[in-house]
Amino acid sequence: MQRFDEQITETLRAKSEWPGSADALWGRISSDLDQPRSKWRRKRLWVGMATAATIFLAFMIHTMLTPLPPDPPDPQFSRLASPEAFSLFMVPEEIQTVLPGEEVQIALGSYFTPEGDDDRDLRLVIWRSLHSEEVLVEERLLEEDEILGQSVLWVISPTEPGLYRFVVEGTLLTEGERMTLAAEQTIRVEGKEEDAISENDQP
Amino acid sequence: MDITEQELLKRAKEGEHDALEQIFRHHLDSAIRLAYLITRNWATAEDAVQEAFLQAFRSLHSFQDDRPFKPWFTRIVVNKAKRTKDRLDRGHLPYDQEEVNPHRIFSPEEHALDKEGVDTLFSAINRLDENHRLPLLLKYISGLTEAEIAEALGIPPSRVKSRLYVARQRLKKHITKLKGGGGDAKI
Repeated sequence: MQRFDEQITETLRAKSEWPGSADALWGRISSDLDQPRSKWRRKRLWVGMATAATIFLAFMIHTMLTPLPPDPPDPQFSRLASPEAFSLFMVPEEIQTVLPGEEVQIALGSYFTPEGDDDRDLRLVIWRSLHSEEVLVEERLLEEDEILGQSVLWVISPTEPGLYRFVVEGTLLTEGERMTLAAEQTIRVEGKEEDAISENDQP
Repeated sequence: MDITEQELLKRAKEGEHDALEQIFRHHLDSAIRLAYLITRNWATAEDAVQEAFLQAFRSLHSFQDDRPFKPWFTRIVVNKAKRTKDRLDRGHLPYDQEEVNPHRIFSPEEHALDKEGVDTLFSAINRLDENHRLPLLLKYISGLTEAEIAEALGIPPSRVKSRLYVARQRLKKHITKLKGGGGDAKI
C-alpha cells in the first residue's frame, strides 16, 4: 500500500511540473496587493454604502412618522435598533451567488443611537433557508477592529450549498458616541448537495 | 501549523510584505500543481493561484490564528480552480495539449518511475470522477491529512476516508485491467 501511495504522489508530481516563474507570479500578486482595489470594486463599495445610507434614511423617516404602539405585544418592537424592525424596511437586494468558502462582502449601515436603548454586542448571525424555514447556522461575536473604519465586512461563505441570510447587528461605543450597526445580505452558495455514498463506496 | 508559520502569519497580518512573500513561496508549489491538475491549463491555473493568494492575503485579518492555514488556503485554491475549470468546460478556453516535447527534460520522479507506468496511472487518475479525484489530489499533492481534506472540502472525515479508499481501489482495478488482469498492480 505504501509503495502504491508513493507511486501516486510521484505520478502526480511528474505530471504537474510548472513551467512558469515564481518571481513573475509574485511580482503580479505583489503589484495587485500594493494597488488600491479596482475601480469596479471601489464602485461596488460606494454602491453598497449609498444603498445602506438610503435604507437608513428610509428607516429613520419611517420611524419618525410612525408612532410606537402604546403597548407592544412583542418586546422586540420596542427596540429602536431592532434588526428585525430594520429588516422590514430593507430594500429588496440582489442575492449574491458564491462558491463554497468564497469571500463575501456585506455592506454595513450605521447610525448613532440615543442613550437608553438596549446595548447588544456586535455579532454576525448566519441563517439558512430550509424548506421555507430559517435555521440558525452560526452566531459569533465580532471584534471591533473587524468593523471600525470599514464600510464592509468580509466573511467566508458556508461550505454547504444553499440559501443563507447574513445579519450583522449590535452596538458599539466609538469616540464617546454610541452607534448601532445593522446589515443584511442574502447569499446563495452554489453547488449540489453532497451525494449519498453508495454501499460500494464503503471501505 | 508550526511556530514559524504562525509567526509569519502574525507578521503578514501586520502588513509585512516580506512575510507575505514567504507564505507565498512556501505554499506556491502545491497550490500551482493542484490548480493545474484541476484546470489542466497552465494559464488558468496561474490565474486561479494568483486570485487565491490575493483573496487569502486580503482576508488574513479575519483568519483565526489557532486554525491551520493550509486547509483554509487550499479550499480557496480549489474554489478558484474549479471556477476557471467551469469556463474551460464551457469551451471558452482550450485545455493544454499533453504533447510530448522532444526537448523536454525528464524530472527525477519520471526517471525513477517507468514512463509508461506514469502515463497509465495518470490516465487512471483522470478517469476518476471529481468526488474521488479531488480528495486524492489534496492528499498526494497538497499533503493534507484526512481531517484537513474534510475541512477543505466541507465534507465529513468519514466520507473523505471512504472516497480515498474507493479511489485507490478504482485505480488498482483500472491498471490491472490494462495489464491484462495480472495480479496486484505494479506500475
